[in-house]
Amino acid sequence: MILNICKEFSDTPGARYKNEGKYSGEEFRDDLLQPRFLEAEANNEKLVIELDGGYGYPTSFLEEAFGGLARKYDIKKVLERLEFVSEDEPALINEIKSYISSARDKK
Amino acid sequence: MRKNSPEYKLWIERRNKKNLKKRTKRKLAKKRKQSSLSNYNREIKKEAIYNPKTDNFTFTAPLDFSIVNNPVETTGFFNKIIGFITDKRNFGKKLFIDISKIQSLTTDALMYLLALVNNLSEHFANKYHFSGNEPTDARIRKLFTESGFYKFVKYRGTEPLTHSNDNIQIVSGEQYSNDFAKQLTDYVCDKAQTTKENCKFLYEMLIELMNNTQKHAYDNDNLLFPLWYCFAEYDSQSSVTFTFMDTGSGIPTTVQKNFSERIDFLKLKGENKYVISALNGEFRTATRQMHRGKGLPKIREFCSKGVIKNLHILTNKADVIVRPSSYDGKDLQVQLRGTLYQWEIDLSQLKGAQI
Repeated sequence: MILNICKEFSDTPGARYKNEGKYSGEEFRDDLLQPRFLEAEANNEKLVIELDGGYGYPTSFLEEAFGGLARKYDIKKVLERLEFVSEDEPALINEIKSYISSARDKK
Repeated sequence: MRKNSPEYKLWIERRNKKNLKKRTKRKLAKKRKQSSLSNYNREIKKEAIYNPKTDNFTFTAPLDFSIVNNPVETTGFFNKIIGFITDKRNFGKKLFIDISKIQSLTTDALMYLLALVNNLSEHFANKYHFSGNEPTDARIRKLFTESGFYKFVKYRGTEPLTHSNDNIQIVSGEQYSNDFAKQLTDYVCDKAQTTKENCKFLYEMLIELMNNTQKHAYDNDNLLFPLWYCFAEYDSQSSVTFTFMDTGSGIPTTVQKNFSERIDFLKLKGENKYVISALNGEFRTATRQMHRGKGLPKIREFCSKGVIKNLHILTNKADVIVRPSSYDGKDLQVQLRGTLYQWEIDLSQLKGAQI
């Protein structure tokens, strides 16, 4: 299963929460990422996230979308289920994985 | 009670004492009121020049009207206006901002002036009438006109307003604006003749800064609404300079402090240390959530990589210049209300640039 953020969501992602502005990480997670993640879980397949094509991903967007998913479900489960593709910015993949791995609520 | 009896005399004495006490109290109150009024008049005279003909209080801008280059005088000038505005006794007065004599100007000062004139909170808005003049120096007046200042205030001049293709005029907003961040990224890509893939850092940085305005920039005494202002200018040395400002509490006020820092009333630690600490990604987020507070460290990373240059941050008393692998930090004598970021992008250094 493939999810292309730029084509299916927006090429200009915003910040963290819906109430802060357009195309937030929370909006992306609730409307697209989480349903696809659950679908991929049900079908026992990988969810491939395509990251290329956009103007950039603010850290708060990435953290809320992927870190937020890991806080809701399990860190290990999310890491296993998601696969990332980025030819423009390969370092972004490790950055997202670090947000997932360190997804905790409080200090 | 019979007149001239000892009881009557005692009563008279008691009554006289009581009346004397009352009279003294009234006299003192009157004296206090008069002295506070004369103090107030003296204070006002120190801050502004009153023109009885126009009924205006004139505030004269420093010759070098720039927060970045002349922070003490320029911030002092704004603090005088703030002091005047926040004094309830001045409600209803007219303020005249005199910038006619300035010899140099940067847009950060104009942004701050706009914030004071344009986004006073409802507690202070409509309580004052602002007016002003233009710089007399032709070169500075051109910069002033082309900055977009007149998009925010009423223009009563006769000369037609000009717009330069080399800058993006001042834009202001409350929430982050994906469209404006995109517009600025496209502008840089266009000037460098490169693709947006090579300018992603700028889009990400702008969204983080705009969003910080909402999260961290609330003003303690509600003088100003938390808004951001942004301006970009292309210069002949093939670089683009960005000026971004928010008018809130500032980073040192909003970061999370440990116990020893909270009781550091004498500010021995220095406010610039808090900014450096937040840039270094030490746990400083006011939300106290581990997964937050990653925006400023990311911006620091862009400086280390060299994609942005000469990042200068002025917030409260902190004055920090971010170098690729170090900081130049100091504390100013005056306090800036808000946060000012200024940075440059060397277009020739951008990946894929064809200039």
